[in-house]
Amino acid sequence: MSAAHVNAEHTLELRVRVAGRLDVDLFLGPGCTAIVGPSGAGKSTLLAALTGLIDVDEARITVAGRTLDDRTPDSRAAGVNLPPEARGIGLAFQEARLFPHLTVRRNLRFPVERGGRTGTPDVDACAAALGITALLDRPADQLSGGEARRVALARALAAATDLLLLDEPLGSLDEGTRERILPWLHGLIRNSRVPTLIVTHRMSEAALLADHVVVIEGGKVVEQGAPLDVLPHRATVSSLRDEEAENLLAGTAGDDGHSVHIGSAVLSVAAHDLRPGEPVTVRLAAGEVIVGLSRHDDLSACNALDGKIVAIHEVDDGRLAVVDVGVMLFVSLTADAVAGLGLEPGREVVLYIKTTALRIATAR
Amino acid sequence: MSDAIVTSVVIALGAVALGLLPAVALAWWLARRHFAGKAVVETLVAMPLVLPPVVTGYLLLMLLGRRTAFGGWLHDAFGLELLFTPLAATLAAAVVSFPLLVRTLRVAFEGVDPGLEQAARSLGAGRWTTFTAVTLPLCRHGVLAAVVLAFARALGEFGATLVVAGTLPGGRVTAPVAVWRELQSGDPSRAVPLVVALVAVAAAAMFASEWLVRRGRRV
Repeated sequence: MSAAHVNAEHTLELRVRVAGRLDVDLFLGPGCTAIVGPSGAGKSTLLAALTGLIDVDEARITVAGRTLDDRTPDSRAAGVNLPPEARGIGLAFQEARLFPHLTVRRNLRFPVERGGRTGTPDVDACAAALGITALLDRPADQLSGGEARRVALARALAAATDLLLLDEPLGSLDEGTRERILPWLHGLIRNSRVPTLIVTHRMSEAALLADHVVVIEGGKVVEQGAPLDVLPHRATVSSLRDEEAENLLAGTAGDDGHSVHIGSAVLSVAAHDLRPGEPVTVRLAAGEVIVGLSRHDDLSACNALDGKIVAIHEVDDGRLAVVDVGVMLFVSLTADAVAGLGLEPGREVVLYIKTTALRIATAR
Repeated sequence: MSDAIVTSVVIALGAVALGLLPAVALAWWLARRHFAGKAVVETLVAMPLVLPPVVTGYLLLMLLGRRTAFGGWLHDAFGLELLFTPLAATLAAAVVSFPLLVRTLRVAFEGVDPGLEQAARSLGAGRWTTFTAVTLPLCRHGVLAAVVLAFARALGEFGATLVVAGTLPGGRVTAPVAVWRELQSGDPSRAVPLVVALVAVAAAAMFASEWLVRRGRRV
């Protein structure tokens, strides 16, 4: 969506300067915006500044027409600087930060009981949105890492009257836990009634979750736009380097219970207990995809998808191709494979994917 | 004997009650804020811990005596004469136990993750609500330990008390002063019951505060 056409009711104006760390000027629409960039780029600093938890040198922050902070050189006199509790923001920190002396339910009720927040979804709705209804009466210090993370997300939802901020919501979780939380997070963002900002250093999460992507490096905005316009060209920035490149996709289960529809593509998957039509998320490591130049029907891989190479980027240990198969997929290749097959942007290819390479998770 | 114990317990409770609120405010301030002159404040607060109690008593005497500026004003404006009253004994006990109160409370507050306080603020709680709903419950064991420790110190206060409230109206004295009197009387054995009682209370208080601090660490 173009910012110019967005109703002022739903826009965010974020101008924040913290000397030596952050200098951004953003105008964002409703929906979900992903702030991506390498570690230390200033992403978390931006969220802390929006929430009013750190000192800033200059700020002008308005959410849906309400001014939270206005300390620019030309508005010093006005000098609005709402304290964190008055900003109507629900922030899920990188760590869960649950109150250990309270039950899960009391944690979720905190924004209403202690914070006086109104107009947010009630505790039951927040718990249902993250699948933690069964945990409500447990002490918050007796949860697993994955459970605590879901409670923290639900609590942020219960506090967000105007804006929802999620700081690396899947960070520091083991791969299995991360995969299981993904569908809940996807649902949370899709159903959020308030604009959402999600900070992540993983392109795959931004591609799955966001309507708009802002790339921050060295405290400055270096690029922004729709995920598919921005991410393929950003796929090689340092953010992906220390982790396995992957694809995260949202789809729905097919009628047969072992296929998933993603965009126009239909993939057969190893899961057998899918309910027809239910939302699923799919994780596919970029290294698990085989690239061919033509269709073969003598391969064991069940999924063959026709596509076209959009871009090929050099990464430390090889190449990362972006292939359009109806959705964008990242594919890891060796330099030799790229040269041997004569792969280049614009080239038509067939991607082969084993069903076992597709990691399926549902919000259940 | 039981008279002296009761007098001491009442005075010690009063001393802790008198010092608790300012100690909580000061300890929180020291634990959470950085400001110029913090070292000076810390030094001043710790002074009664290392000063000979009799010197603390002398300084209190200088403050409260009717011929001093503050003591004179108290007398002229309110008709208050503090010296050799239970209030003076309470004040003396409060002053000497105050550093223990502040230090133990400060350690308790520092044990609370500031990230949880930030979380509370972001969830809509103001500073005061954050303190009462998050900080205090999370360090309640430490706060209790501080109270118990300060109570024990106040109960045992002797030097400063002797100077400003050696004998109270009606001839009452605090338990440590009573022990000293018995020793002066030439028959030390008469102090034994009081000594046993004071040792027992001190041991119980130390044990309780250690146990509370340990519990606090587990939370």
